[in-house]
Amino acid sequence: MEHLSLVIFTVLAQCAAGLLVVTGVIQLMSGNVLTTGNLRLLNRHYVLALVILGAALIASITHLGQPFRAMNVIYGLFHSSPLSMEILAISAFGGALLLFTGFQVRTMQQNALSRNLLILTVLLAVALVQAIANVYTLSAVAAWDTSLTSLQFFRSALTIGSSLAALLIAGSHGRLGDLRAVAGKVTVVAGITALLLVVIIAMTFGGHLAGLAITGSAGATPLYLHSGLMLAGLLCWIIPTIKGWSSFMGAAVGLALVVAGEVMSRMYFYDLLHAQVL
Amino acid sequence: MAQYGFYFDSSRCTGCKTCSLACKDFYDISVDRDWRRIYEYGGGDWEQNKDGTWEHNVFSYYTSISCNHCDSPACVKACSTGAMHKREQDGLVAVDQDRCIGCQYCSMACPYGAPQYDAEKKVMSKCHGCFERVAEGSKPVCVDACPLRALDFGPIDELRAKYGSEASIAPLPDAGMTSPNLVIKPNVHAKPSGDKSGSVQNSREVK
Repeated sequence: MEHLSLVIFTVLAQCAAGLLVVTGVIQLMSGNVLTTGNLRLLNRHYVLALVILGAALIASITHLGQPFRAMNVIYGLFHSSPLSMEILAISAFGGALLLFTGFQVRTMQQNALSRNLLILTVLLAVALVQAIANVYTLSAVAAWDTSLTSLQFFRSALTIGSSLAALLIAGSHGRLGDLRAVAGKVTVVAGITALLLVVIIAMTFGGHLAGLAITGSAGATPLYLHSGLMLAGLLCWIIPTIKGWSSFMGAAVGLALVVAGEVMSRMYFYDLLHAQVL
Repeated sequence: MAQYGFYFDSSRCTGCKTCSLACKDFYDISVDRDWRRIYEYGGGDWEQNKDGTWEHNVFSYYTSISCNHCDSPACVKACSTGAMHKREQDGLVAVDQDRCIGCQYCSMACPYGAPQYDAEKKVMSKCHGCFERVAEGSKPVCVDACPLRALDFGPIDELRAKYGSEASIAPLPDAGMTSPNLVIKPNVHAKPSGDKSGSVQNSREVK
């Protein structure tokens, strides 16, 4: 597949952003129940988000024909190239995440400054997902020239981010203490939001492509397959979490299904480029 | 300085592809790239008349397109390094291969398929209007090579005064998208941009 490195880059970057948003909201809503033990467990999420973001950056560089000239993207900022803005967004998000994670890992406490830095990092994560969407919302590519492109990318961030957060929480084996209730609520809300986005996109994207006479011989079947995998994966952990069960296996299977669905969906997205007339 | 552009006479073009091959030969372009692409746009079907007789409305024509050196070039706006640029002296759009990082974003952004990745040099490449030949007073290689004299090149104001200003012919996108410096004399069967009655018949040749 021609743009496989971009599939990996966008999925991983959105995963990191989604994981940070979900975990950041958990921490911001936790109030006084944050203990050193809780922070240690939440720090694992932040470190993992950093690792995933690093992997995303490596994937993006492998896409370049001249990776050693990568710094030339700075010149693109002068005319606001969407790609240069995307690199700026990922740098800002990565920098803020590194700063915040470094502080919290080192001090094992939260103060007003680190709390504000976390809020900023959450906002930068959202900005990053939109910046990536801006790159692909091109008038020259009819299949991508729609608000559904942004929606798909936010869907990816939430489906994988919430599923990964759920897995990490399930893997904490009850050590979250009082934070468990907040964590459960936030991940379920994120998961249900993701679920709604999956359904909305499944119902509308096929129609958008059909209107452009782009859908191939398989019709909308691939879209339903991707969405089905995501839905199944999300329900694998949302239902147990709502019922108050802690199921590591459910979360693991759920994450695997969601990632499979999202990767397949992203490959389908990039393949739409070949449907261009010229 | 003058803005240069191309004129293409679709009523003369036979789709021989001499223009494309002349360019490939002159610039030693690899097999997988075409700085000038000839799209065969065709369609139509049989229709039954009220009296039971059948008629067909099958059509086909060629559009020879390189880079249109647009007034609002999508590739330049997209370029993440500024390597893709519009020259001030002649308005031709060219890529600085020493700055290009080969991200291929320009090829996604261009609605005409002009920027193409050079897998050997690992940077982007495209029609640059033969600006070196133009500076010497010659025309681009493709224009001189056309045996039907279906191509012309010059200051776009002169071309428009001589041939009109039509550029929105299928399978090309509407000219309002990037304001191409291109004038087309439509084929008798020409369809407007956005037409759905036909399709590109030689997609494997031009992709």
